[in-house]
Amino acid sequence: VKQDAPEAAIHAEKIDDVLRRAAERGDISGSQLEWSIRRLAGNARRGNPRLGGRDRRQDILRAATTTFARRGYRHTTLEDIANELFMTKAGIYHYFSSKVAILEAIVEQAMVAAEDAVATGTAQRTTPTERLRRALRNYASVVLEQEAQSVSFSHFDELSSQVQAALNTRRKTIEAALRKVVEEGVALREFEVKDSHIAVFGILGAINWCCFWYDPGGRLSAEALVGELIERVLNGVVSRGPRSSVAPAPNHHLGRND
Amino acid sequence: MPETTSPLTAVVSSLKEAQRRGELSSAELSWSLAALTGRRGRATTRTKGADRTDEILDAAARVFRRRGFHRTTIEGIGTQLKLTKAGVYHYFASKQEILEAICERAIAQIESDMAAALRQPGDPLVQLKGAIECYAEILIRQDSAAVLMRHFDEQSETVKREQTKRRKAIELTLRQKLEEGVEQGVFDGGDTRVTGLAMVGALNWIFSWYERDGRLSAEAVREALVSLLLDGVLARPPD
Repeated sequence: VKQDAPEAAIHAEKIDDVLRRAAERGDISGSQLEWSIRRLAGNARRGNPRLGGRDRRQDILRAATTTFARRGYRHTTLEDIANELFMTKAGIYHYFSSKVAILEAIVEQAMVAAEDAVATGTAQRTTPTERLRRALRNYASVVLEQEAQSVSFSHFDELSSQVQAALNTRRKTIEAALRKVVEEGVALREFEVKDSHIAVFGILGAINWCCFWYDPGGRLSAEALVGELIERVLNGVVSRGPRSSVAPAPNHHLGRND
Repeated sequence: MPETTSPLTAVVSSLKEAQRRGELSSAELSWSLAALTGRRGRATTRTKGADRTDEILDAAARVFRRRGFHRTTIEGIGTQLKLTKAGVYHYFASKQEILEAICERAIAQIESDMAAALRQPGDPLVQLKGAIECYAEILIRQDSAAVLMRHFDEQSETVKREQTKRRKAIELTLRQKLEEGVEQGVFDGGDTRVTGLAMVGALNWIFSWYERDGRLSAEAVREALVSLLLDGVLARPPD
């Protein structure tokens, strides 16, 4: 009466579903899920599946970014990062001397990416309006699409003061590049702002803050959000027509820094 | 002992309820709890106690803003007020509790000032302008608001959940005002959720760049930001 054969049949898709649900609940990580599914399908070899022939340093940074974003830097251990990659802690130490060194590398890369994004946009040979639009679009795409950005915004305080200073220099480069375009636009009467420094700070704030609320799985695609944000920054909210602001801008320059 | 429930339980929970409803500040709550439970001996100097709590929060917010939460110690906060570490512990159980009280205070202020601005007589433009002006004003002038934006994540999960709800409610009031303005034709359409969050983001971010002794006065900074958010960057036709 035993019916071994049908019972022994393995429904791989069921196992996959079980794993996917576990991943949805957060019981296993995304990379654990991905690897297990590949392994079950016979597409991954035993041993260290995530790392075969890849850049391990980048793998570690990617895994750490996801883990920091999910649990926060303070609640993440090197073991957590190692587990994510099926590595040992010693394996991680081969590439990075400490958890903070990993965070610093993530933040540094994120800032370099942001700086490049802005530089590419502002280097275009076209009107200030178009250059500002492109620079902001590039910058916003980097901010929204790379988890590293939100990790670096939320964990700035964990960095050593030297690294903070280095990052602030990059931040200032980004601000200066955007300010230059804004000022050129003002000179050509394409733009009208009360203060170019403050305008750039405001624009960057509107974009950076998206890191904290944007949900990639939500109703709005990153591309749509970027488009919407930039049009808002350029046009404001008041219906097009004369400016709504009170009185002409007085001379606020008090002769302090800058 | 037959009596296991303290007679204070109900009092304490009703105070906590009142604080949740916004009728008490967290400083008032923690002061009354400390007084009621005898942590501070007899409650003889009510206002003095509450003032002291506020002083500690002011000093702590100033130090957190300047040095960051992690680099600040309870002694460091006490020093500002010529209080010992034990003196500070008399009012707050931990550095985190101080942070949570600071953030609570900032949110309560944003809530009440914005609600008042949005109730002002006038069209949606006047009301929205008033609301973002006072939001900017708080972020520029109040250390507690800068601390809220910078160190929100260091709070306990429960506190974060509760505060997130209130911050979303604040965002929602802005968004409703935007929608009202769109209906009346004073504002351009677009996605009002994105617009509202862009405004809040531009203002929240003040914490990361504003310097008190910078080139511009606080008023000039506020005016420039509000003008950016309302009118955008592109030039508009003259009247």
